[in-house]
Amino acid sequence: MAGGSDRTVSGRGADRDAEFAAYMAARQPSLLRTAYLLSGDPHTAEDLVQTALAKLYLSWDKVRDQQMIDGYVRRILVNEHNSLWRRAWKRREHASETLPEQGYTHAPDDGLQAALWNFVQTLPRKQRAVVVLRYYEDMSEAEIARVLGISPGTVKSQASRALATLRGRAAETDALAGYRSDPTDTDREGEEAR
Amino acid sequence: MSPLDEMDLARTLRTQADRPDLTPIGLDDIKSTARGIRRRRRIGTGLAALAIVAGAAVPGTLLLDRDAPRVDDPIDDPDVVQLEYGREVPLDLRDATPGELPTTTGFVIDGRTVQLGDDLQIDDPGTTQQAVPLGDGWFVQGYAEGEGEVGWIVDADGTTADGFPSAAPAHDPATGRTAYVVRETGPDRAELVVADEAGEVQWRAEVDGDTVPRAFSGDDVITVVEPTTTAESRELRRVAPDGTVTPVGIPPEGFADLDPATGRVTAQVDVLADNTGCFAVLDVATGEPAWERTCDYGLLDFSPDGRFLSAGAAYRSGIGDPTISVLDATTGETVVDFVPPQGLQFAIIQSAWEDADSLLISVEQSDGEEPAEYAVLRLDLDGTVELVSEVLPYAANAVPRLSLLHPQAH
Repeated sequence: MAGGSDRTVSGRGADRDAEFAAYMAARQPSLLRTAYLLSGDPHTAEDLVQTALAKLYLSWDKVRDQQMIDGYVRRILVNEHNSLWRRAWKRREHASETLPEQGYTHAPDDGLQAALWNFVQTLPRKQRAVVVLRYYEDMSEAEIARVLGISPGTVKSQASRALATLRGRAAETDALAGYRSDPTDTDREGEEAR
Repeated sequence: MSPLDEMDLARTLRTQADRPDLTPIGLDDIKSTARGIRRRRRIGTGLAALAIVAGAAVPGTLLLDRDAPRVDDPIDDPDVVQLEYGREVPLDLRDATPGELPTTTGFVIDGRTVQLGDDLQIDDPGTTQQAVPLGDGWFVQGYAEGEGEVGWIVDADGTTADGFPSAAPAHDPATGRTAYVVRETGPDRAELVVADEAGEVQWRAEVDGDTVPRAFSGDDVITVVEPTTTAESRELRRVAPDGTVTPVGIPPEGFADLDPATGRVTAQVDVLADNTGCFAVLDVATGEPAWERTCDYGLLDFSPDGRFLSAGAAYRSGIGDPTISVLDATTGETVVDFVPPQGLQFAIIQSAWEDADSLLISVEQSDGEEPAEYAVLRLDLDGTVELVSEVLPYAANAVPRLSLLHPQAH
């Protein structure tokens, strides 16, 4: 809507931008990392974060609680990623010669991490979002449910399916033949400790 | 054997996330993107955000507080606008400034081509009546010969992904959700489907076969169940995501539109001999009027946030109202009258709320000398009048040349 002459102008624009810039400076690196884990592509991750922050900027006067802001931005990231995924799916019939980007490696690795990262990228997007929020962001099921707008039960089932898929893929991969495909006591203990 | 446990997964994600080549984005780029979002969507992004953050729907009357202080917003956020009531704005498509195509509905051109959003034109798959966004694509509803009422799911590229017996959909521009029915689940039964902004199905519920989704109320959908016999009445029902169906009430005679946040409806309560009538906003549960009936305006539809009402003339000519107004839904006060200049033959063929701030109208206009012209206009509450379609000249056997596909369009 075009600006009306009868709007109240408070002169808080500079303060607002300063507040928002401070939030960006503090949180943007983390958001970029999460977006990268969701998308698996650095350029897509930057686009996701740019859109999410732009939407947050539009709502900045309405959401000031830090925890709520973080949850809100993560929800936008996931939703935007879902939208991108949908568009990509529709374009899938146009074959691409480009292979998906391989995992980024800068640390010694026995092969497990590279393989796991490739498996993670094949997870359905909702399972992948749950995995990223749970195992990277270290969120509880209740927190993930709030961010994604789904029930805690759905979070639990999506996480369980994702783990089962990853274990199954690991068991099928020769290089990872030593990794078991079924849950172990170690897993369960870790879950209880969480 | 080594266990593939959750720690392996956490370590892998941390390693992958720690990339040095992710480029930070500057505030100017963020503001530029924000302006683009505002221009493209023209919907209450801030309201949706607030609802998401709150984790529940907040009644529109709480969100839009006219007395709230206006903040200085460099991207011109219109979520809370202090309006000067009682204005009169000239309505003339020759003076309208070009605007973007509607994003929350489309229109049919000459009964043949369906224009959806700003970049999609498809052949009319039947006799198209309504279209609302569904994810990146659209839910289109109309009549198909031999099939009756049909709903089509149309992808962003115009491909029809699915088609099934259906009815009019409902769409919430503030959250992007869409509700539609699939009438294939058996005799007298249908499935109500609710999809989120991305087009992903959020929930489904089994409902009566003649159920039509009408509006969103929090997580629930308010539906109208059409009577199957003349002895029955239409009924409003609330359908929850867990499938629970709760009666809301029987809409009064002359029922036109519903505000789900407050349970109020607009209705014609009196028909006079001279083809005029009186209208009221009624509480559907009690039948009590919210404010004194009006015989000056023909009440039409609530804005998506329930704050405003569109209203035409109390006199119904059958050709179309010559004026359209916006009233305060709570008090009945006139916010703005859009009035064509003297001497212009002007008819508003259809009207519908595009979002909480703007109305779409399809119009026929003639100066009495040249052939009539047809167009779709956007009327903003601040008095801006935008032309959002081509201007099409009169053509024989093609009246009206532009038909709005919004579920509210009358």
